[in-house]
Amino acid sequence: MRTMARQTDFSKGRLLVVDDDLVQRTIIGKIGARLGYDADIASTFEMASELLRTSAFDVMTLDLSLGERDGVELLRLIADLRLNAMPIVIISGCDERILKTTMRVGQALDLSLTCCLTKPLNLDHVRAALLLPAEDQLIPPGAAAMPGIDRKRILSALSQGEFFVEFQPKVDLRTGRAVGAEALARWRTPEFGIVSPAIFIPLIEQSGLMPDLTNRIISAAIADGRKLIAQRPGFTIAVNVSGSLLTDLTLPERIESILREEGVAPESLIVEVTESVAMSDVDRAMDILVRLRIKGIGASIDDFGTGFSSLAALARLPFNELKIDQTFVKGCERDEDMMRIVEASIALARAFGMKVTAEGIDSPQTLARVRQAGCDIGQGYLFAPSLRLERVERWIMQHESLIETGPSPMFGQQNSIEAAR
Amino acid sequence: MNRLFDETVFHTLGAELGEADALEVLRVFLADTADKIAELPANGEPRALIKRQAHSIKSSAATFGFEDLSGLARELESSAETMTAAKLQDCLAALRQAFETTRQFARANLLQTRIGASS
Repeated sequence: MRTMARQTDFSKGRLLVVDDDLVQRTIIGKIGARLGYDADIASTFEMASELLRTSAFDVMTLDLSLGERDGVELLRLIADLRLNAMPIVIISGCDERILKTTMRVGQALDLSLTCCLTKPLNLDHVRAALLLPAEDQLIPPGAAAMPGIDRKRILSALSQGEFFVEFQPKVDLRTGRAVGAEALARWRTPEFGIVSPAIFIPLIEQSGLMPDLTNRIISAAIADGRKLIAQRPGFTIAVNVSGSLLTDLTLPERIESILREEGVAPESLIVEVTESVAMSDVDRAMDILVRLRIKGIGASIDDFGTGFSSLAALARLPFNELKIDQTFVKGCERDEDMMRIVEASIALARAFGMKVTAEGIDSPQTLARVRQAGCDIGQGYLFAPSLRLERVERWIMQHESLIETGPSPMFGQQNSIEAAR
Repeated sequence: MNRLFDETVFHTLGAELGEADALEVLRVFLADTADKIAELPANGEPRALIKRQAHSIKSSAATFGFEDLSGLARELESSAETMTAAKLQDCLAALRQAFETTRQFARANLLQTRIGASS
């Protein structure tokens, strides 16, 4: 192990350089020292793991090849040590696809991978990577699990009315108009505040209370969404139903009954089917979905591409909308592999005569790319996050008035994109 | 067509690290690469070892602008596992020769004419 003291009066903190190549690690360490880091240099997995266990670092560079071991093993160790907030610069002589997949591994582990550098090293890029400010970190640290949430606590939450819905607008990518909203389950607790759906949905699936939550959310979505639908012809409200629930043959009638009570037309509702849990009985799912469709209710295949049997479900079930999962959409303009999935998903949807919605549109660049690829509808933070009813109403009104007064900055290239189609 | 040395690449290294540190890293490179070349198996096996060493030499040599050496290492890395034994021996000999030429050039033109002359 070797250390290199910073060559500046000020300190930017501690840098850990992990590289099995003597020349490369010497160069990176020296660049770090000139930038104001005190650098610790590790040439093996074992040295690096020892340093990570005993010391704190402000940034780390990691070569994916570490002799007998590899950098991905070290990424797992970093996750186990809960060093999720430490910025990590990946360095490798491997091909681009390996680098991209490594970035995805880092994302899955909730680590703060800031960028990938390829060998031979471009020294400007090394310097820029080590200077990356903390706010440029691409991946935020993950949420910790919530203690004390069991079946009893969820039942109490259902009876106390702690679950409610927020609406995320869906925007027509051709006209820029808001054409619908997805109702999303939210949980506000007295003891933890708002609990993330990423935490409570799996807990509810495990507790067997998903049917109860689904009923509650469908009722709330239709009751709250009625106002949005009434004022806008063709506007739709989407609700999520887990694929595991498509065994309840009474579901179409229950939904129809809620629609009738609230005076909402079946055509205004879309049931989005997620496949985080494999559908246990495809024959029953076909029965349920076809009856929903006969009643005029829309059916959407949600999180497309990530489920257990997306292609089989697409071929056999009567969906009329395909929602491309946000993991493929976010940053697709910078990732050719993801863009291929987006384009192939659009082609598949077209072959089945379905509309395509892209989830996770967070930037104007992503918007431009998915519009160019031919997506019909978009959803994402670039337009709006999920909002309470009053706020989503206000958002839609303001959005519509912007559309009336001329092309919004987001849709400024509308004409040229339509011409390109 | 390959060249022995791309001066602009080495100047970039000098600008980034400062001349003294650039020369220190150059000495590290020459010593480390000499070790790697010596470790290359004379009988051409195992080829995975040759590929790994070639991979490392390729990247490091390119960092200093030693284009001939980097190019030969790249060729060896990409084909070491598939080329015939005779071709492999030719490539290993060419790599050893390119390193020797590079080392003599560096000693005569880079280390001897700058701050590092005393070492």
